[in-house]
Amino acid sequence: MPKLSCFFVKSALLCLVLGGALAGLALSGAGGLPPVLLALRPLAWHLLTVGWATQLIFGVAFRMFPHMPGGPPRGDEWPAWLVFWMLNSGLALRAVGEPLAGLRPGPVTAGLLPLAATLQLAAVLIFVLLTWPQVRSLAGRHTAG
Amino acid sequence: MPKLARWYVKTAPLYLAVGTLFGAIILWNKGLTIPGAWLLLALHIALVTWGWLLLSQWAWPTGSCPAGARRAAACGWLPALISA
Repeated sequence: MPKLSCFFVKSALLCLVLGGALAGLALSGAGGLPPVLLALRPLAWHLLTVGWATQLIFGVAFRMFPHMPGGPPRGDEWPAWLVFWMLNSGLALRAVGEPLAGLRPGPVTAGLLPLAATLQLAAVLIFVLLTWPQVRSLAGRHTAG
Repeated sequence: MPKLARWYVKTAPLYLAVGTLFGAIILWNKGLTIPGAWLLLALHIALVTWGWLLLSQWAWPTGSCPAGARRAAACGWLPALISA
């Protein structure tokens, strides 16, 4: 398995554990829970859908998509690494910014969430642009086969 | 790969891109006010869950035993259904 796929899968599993724990706490409805846990519900969903499921798909997609002719086996890997770091730093910023914005709104916290959104959006757009030619060639190869 | 599956694999990244754009607008709105951003919430959820997470499952390799793999994938949904 390529190193990048390993990173994606390991990070996805970490997000699964964190997101699962957070979702369990936030949805438990147990009395005495601090209100910040309720504010963390969107973060829990995003740790599970973006951090776990999407990241797992990205990692597997990077491993399974057909190799492009010419050049290194999976093409130039640095844009894919950029996707990994942007997606995870976006999630991490959100993890910090969301509770902070709920507890202590201010100019710094107000800047964290738009930055997190921009990083995650950029990561997704780069991933789509990277995989689009491979998706097309995968579909064509299976049709021919 | 069947034609329908090819369409699924091709449309899933597009749904991801548009769904993430809507999600980013909602998250931007938490820092910089964007009027009407929350109206995109339902679309954001639908695009990324049905459009991306579900459709991208069609890209999964099925190996030499497609029927077994499909069964396994179906079984994978059982815990989610039970917990729901």
